[in-house]
Parts: sequence; structure tokens; C-alpha cells
Amino acid sequence: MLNTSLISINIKKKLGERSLEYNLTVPSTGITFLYGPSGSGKTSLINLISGLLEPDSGRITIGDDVFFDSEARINKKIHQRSVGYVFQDARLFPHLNVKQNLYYAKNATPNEKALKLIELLGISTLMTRKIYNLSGGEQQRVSIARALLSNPKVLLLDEPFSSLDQTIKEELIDYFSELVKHLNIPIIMVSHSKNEVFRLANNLVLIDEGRVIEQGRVEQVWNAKTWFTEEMPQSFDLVYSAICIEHHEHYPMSKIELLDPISSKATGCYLWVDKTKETLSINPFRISLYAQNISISLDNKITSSIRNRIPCKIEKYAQLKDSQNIIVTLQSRGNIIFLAKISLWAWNEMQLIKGMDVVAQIN
Amino acid sequence: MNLDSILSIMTLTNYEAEALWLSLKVSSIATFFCLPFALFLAFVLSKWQFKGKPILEVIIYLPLVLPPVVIGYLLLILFSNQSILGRFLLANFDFTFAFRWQGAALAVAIVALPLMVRSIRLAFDLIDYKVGQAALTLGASPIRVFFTISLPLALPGIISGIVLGFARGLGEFGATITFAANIAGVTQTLPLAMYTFIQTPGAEHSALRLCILSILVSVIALFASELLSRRMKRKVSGTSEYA
Repeated sequence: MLNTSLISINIKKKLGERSLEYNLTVPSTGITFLYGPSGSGKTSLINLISGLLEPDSGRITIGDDVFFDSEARINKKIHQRSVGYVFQDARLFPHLNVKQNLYYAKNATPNEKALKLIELLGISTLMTRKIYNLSGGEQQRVSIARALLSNPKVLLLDEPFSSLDQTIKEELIDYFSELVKHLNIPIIMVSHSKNEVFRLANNLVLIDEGRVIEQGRVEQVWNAKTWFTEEMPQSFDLVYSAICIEHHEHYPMSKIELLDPISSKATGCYLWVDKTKETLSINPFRISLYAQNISISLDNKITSSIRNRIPCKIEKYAQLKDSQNIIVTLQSRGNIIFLAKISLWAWNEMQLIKGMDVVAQIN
Repeated sequence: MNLDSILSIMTLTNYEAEALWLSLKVSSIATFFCLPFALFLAFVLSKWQFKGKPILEVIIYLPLVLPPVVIGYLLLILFSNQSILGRFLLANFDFTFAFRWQGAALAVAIVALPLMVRSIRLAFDLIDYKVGQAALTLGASPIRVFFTISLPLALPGIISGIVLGFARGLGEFGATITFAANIAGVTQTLPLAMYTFIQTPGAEHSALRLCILSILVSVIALFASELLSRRMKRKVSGTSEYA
């Protein structure tokens, strides 16, 4: 596969007291999320890519276009980089109307592609409106369209949904997930919303204290964050790709199949969940399962109210600090891992040990 | 009092009209030529960081605190026909500032410049630099950003700077009388004409008329600027003061 606009970043930057050091590659298509706590240096990273910040040393390339190279003394000017940047605060031009904002970039022309984009973002009826007459969600949609109409090589978004209230946020995420199907440039989005990551991300880059902690496919990175990088898990939810197999005839339940987190292949691991809005299709969506909703049983007889019973092997376990609870890692087929949170009492009474065959009951 | 006498009071004498016309001409031409410099200096002071910036600031703002007569005297030294600069202008361009309305305009420009710079600089300071950043990421060169973003957004401040400079020009006295002298019909602006009347015994009536005229002109200028700047603000930020 030819990665024409693969982004490769290897830079250092001292910013006040903090020293940032980024080393990552971003695939040429799909949405890559920069995820981490606030103040971890996510926004600094996209500012470095856009040229709003200048690295102290290193190299930033996109395809064969060199944005920055301290050794070759290359530092492309911001306006020559063709990056689309959607800021947290939409930063529309207040003295221009929507249409003038959209076509501000010199290479933005009202061609078929542009009109399609405007249609997709639902702003075709806003064209003559003044900026101050737009709601927050509308402003952000205009801002996204404005950035894309400049025909960027890469689209950078800095928490574009974070200043919006919940319903508008949901609406905008819907618009956006529809939009990205039509884009074939790399998209880098800064976020600290798990919901946004699960719904939109193809790739995930974990950032903390100005460093890249982990990068890769969402399921791998997220689950690694939860369990494998630290002996003690930080959060007890794992994320899975799944496809919807069928909806129940009588009850509002849907049957889904979990996909292998590495190969994305079907695993034969089926779960009944509350009816999803997903249609029956091969398009995968993401679900997350919390450890407190998973328990362990020794036999597979239907003696409990829990519908989902999946045979597993105990892979490892750890007692939580300052707690009478144990987090158990359960290995099922096709690289599927579950985390179950059970009490120390149950662990001892059931005489569970590593390597034992058990049944995971998933609520 | 009949209508004729009221009309005769309302009508300007030739002398008054001449002084008014000269005042408006001197002040508007001075403001016009001052504006590009004021814009440039305001932008530099607002956006650039460089060594010696405080020194530049002091030089620009000095006329604000210096007695106008000192400014007039310095101009006289610099541009008189005996000075190097004055001789150069006379020899090469057959031009002189001294004792002509152009001299009055130069004096007004020097005095008005700091007021205009201050007002325009404040407007540039208030523009959110982030909006300019957004324009840069859309591929606009810094020059394009200045003309399409910074300048329009600073327009209300620029207009009030122009009006301030113009109004200061109308009132300019000390520097003008020192540098350009008080020659009726040539350099005698409204304040200078009024000064002449005050110096003349028995001309209190004429002085009062010029006093009222000056007040009228200033009030009209201020009203016009207020209206204009309100309209601009609405256009730029979209918010009306009554909203």
C-alpha cells in the first residue's frame, strides 16, 4: 500500500518548564485521536504540526513534503503548509458572513466537491448569515467546512466538540462521522472524551506529560492502557469492535459478535446487548465493557439471569490496592480479553487459580 | 429682532469663513498624511517585539506631553530655510514649510500622530490574535491577514483615531503659531484668529463668535465619529450596544 501522506513526527520542544518529545507516525487515512489528560501536550503537538509552534529540533514530514527539519534548516511557514485546523473555539471571522468565511482560503472554490461538503455539514441554508447569529454547533460546522474547503493535506482538530452542550455535540459527531467517509486525508483530532474516541477513532495515540505513551489501533491501545502497560489497571473498561448480527424478535435486544482486536476477524464470541441503533451490517462499531459488569461462574448451566455466558481461561489476576476486590483477566477465543471484578471472598471460596477454565457472565 | 438680523448673525464673515476653511483644510490634510504612519507604527507597537521598543514608544508619544511651543520651535530649527533640511527641500524641490499652511499641517500632524497611534494600537491590541492564526492556517499570507482580518477588525479604533487626530488638529495652537506664524488667510486657523481677536481691544464680540464656531465644529466632529464608530462596531462584532 502506498502511503502518500503518511505523517511522520520526531521532534523535541521545550515549552517553559516542560519538555515535549514526540515520536509518532500517523496513517495517511482515517481519524487518529490524540488522547490524554488535559495539560498532557496534545494541543501542543498539533500546533507543532501546523506551524503555530516551532520545534527546537527534529523533523516533521507528511508524505514527501517536509514541514520541518532542523538539520536541513527547513521550517515551512504556517500558510504554506496546507493544514486545515479546526480550533476549539471556532475562530470564525466575525466581520464576514458564513459564505465569506467558507471561501476565505484562496484555493477554496465553490465546485461540486465544496457544495457536497457544505451539504453534508448542513450549512447550505446558513450561507448569508452573520457569524453572531450562529449557534455554537453551527459555528463549529462552518469552521470544519472552512478548514476543509482550503484543500488541506491534513485536517487537525482541537477538541472541536468540547465547548458544545450534549445534544448538539451528539448531532455534530453524527455529522462528522458521516463526513469523514468522504475524506481521504489524514485527520488528527485532540480529545479527552472516551465517547468520541470510541465513536470516531481509527487510531489512537496516548499522550501524557509531553510524550507518546502508546500508539496503534484503538482496541489495542485502549486495552493496553487499561491493563497491560501497568500492573495495576487505571480504568476497568475494555473496548471491543463488534458487528450487529441480529435483533431479537420479541425483546429489545441485539446479538453482536466481537471482532478480534488485532486482525478484525470474526471470533465467534457472541453477546446479547440492549438493542443498538446499528443496523445489521458488516460495519463494525465499538462497545466497552466494564469489569464490574462481568462475573465468573464455574459451570455453564443456565442458573442465572445473565444471558451472556462465554467460556474463558483465567489469564492473570491482581488485587486492587486498598480494596477487597480482584481484577481477573479472562482470555477467550480470538484474542478477546475480558476483565472481571470479583471480591476476594468469592475468589477464595471458588478456589480460582491461574489457567483455570471458567465462564464469564457478562451483564 | 427681525429675520434679517438673525440671518446676519448666522452668516459667517469672510474672515471667519477663511479661518474655518483653513482649519478644516490643515487638519484634514495633516490627518490624511499622518494615517499611514500611524497605522504602521500602531501595528509595529502592538504586534512586534524588538529591542528598543520602549525608546520608539517614547519618541512617538513625546509630542503628547511636550509643550506645543517646544514642538513648534524644534520644527523651526529643523525646517527653517537656514537649516540643512530646509535648504535641501528648497534647493531640490523648491518647497518650504515655514510660514505657509503646509507648515501648519506639519505641526498638526506631529501633534496628532501620538493620539492616532494610541487609539489604533489599542484596536490592534484588542483583536484576538487567534483569529489571525486561523487565517494563516487557511493559507493566507501575513500581509493578506493584515488587510483582510486585522485592518477591518480594527476599523472602529482606526476611525476614532482619525477623529481624535482631526479634532486635536482643529485645536492646535502653540506649535502652529511658533512654526508657521499667525498670517491671516495663510496660516491663521480658527484658534489663531481667535487669539488675534482676544489681543485686539474691543473685538470681544468677534472672539465670542469664533468661540461658538469652534465649539460647533468640535461637537459635529465628535457626533459624526460616534455614529460612524457605532456603525462600524456593529458591522465588525455584530453586536449592537442596545442588544
